[in-house]
Amino acid sequence: MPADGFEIVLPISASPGQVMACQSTMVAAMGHQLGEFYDASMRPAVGDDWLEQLRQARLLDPHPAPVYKKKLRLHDFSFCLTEPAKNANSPLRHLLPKSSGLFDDFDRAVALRNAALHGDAAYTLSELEAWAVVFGRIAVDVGLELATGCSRVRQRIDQLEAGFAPGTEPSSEILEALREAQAKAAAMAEVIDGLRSDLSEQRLQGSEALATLSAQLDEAEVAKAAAEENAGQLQASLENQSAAERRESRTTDGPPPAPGSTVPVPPPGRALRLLTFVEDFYDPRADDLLSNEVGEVAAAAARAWTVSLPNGGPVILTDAGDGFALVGYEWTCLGSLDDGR
Amino acid sequence: MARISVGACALLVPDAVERDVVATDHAGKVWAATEVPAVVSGPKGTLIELAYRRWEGEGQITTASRGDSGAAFDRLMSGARLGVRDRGDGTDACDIGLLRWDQSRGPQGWGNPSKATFEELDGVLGGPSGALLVECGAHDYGSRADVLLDSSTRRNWLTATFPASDPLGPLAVYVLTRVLPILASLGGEDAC
Repeated sequence: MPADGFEIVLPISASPGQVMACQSTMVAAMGHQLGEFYDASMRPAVGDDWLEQLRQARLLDPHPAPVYKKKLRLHDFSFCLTEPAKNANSPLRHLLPKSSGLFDDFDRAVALRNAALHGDAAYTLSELEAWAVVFGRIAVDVGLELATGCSRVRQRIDQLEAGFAPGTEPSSEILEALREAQAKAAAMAEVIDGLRSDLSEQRLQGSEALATLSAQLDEAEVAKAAAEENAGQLQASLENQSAAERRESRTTDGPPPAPGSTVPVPPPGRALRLLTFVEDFYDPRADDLLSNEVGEVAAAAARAWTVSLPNGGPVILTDAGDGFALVGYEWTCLGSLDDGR
Repeated sequence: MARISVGACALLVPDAVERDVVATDHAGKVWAATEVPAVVSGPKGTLIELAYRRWEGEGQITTASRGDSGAAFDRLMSGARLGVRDRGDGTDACDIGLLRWDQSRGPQGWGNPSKATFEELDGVLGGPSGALLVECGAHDYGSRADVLLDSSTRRNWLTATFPASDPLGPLAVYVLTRVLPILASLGGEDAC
């Protein structure tokens, strides 16, 4: 898991994938922040190996819980909540506030997470609201940053229930969010690869940690799928927003120039490269294909403009979506991105 | 659209772009095939267009255009294709041979793919190649002996299996094993 904590993924729709993405990051953030919270006090007081000391002490119990039969992980959501909640003599209890109901909320949080992990959940906004309430209450009581994240989740749920449609942010912000979602999917792939490897080794050794590893692998695969779905929805938002920005620019700039008309100098715009084989445009500034920003209109424009530029090459694209290129020795209007709509 | 970082390169695969084409396999047999185009962007002005062609039982990845990228990439226009085989269970397998690039051979250098280890792939990628394969949807990866229960002379070659419907995995393997080795020869430390 990354060491820099987790930003809560805010849902951009009420789809189950969006709810799962949000829940996955809430679980990860809770485990990470509680683990760090305990570690900050336990390490100076007990030593660097306090987790192992605690595990050995629990193993002296006549019937130790399975979680103590393997190495404890500091950021393990389950350990961070069940150790103090289930053990009256837990040293972690001394670190936590004496709020009434805190350990009941610990139990509720674990139950919510287990229901989602084992397919006993509806992945609805109302269910997410319940998560945000319980996780948020714990975060406020303990003083975790997660409190802010849970508050934002509840605000977003209110917005979605009121008909808020993501896509009103500038396209640059959506693109940034899309990149983050793609990076998260890549990070989860690395986690999954590590867990698959661990699982394979443990199978060979017939270890009792198999169930835990399998659960962690399931969780990571759900998080990866959620990040990928989030990326897909952000891309759709990006296309909508980009089209809206072109329409607005057209209103300001006036009617489109006629295809084939020439201008002495190209109008302001961004330099793209027409790719005739792929039938798309490469945007070096974004290091991406234009179709990722504007959708299918990019392919239609690429096919149409290849008539004027059979070998591809540089194209200037204005904010309103008009393309210009040097055809022969003259800057020539190739047409509008939206001609193919 | 899928966008995956492969070392210093980005692999860009447009959504829902699948075209009907005619393809020729290694034996010269002509097939009715489908084609998925993709783009690789990278340092040193690298911008390469790839074609993933799939027909009955198998497929291959080739370089369709190197644009203004380094002339060494002409090697990929004339061979070093990556083969993909249908396993008949909804998955495809592709062997992961690494292009051994020799800058001193010919005017632009030359190389052919050969058996590789994951340590070598990690070195070329600059990170864990297994994680890249998983990111691209790999069901499994390892030696052919382990993954495909192969006992032939190629049993020690590395291989990976991917969902047959998804071109992303084989395309990423192509970038890792064909594009990155040439790119490394072009530009020193910032190439990979």
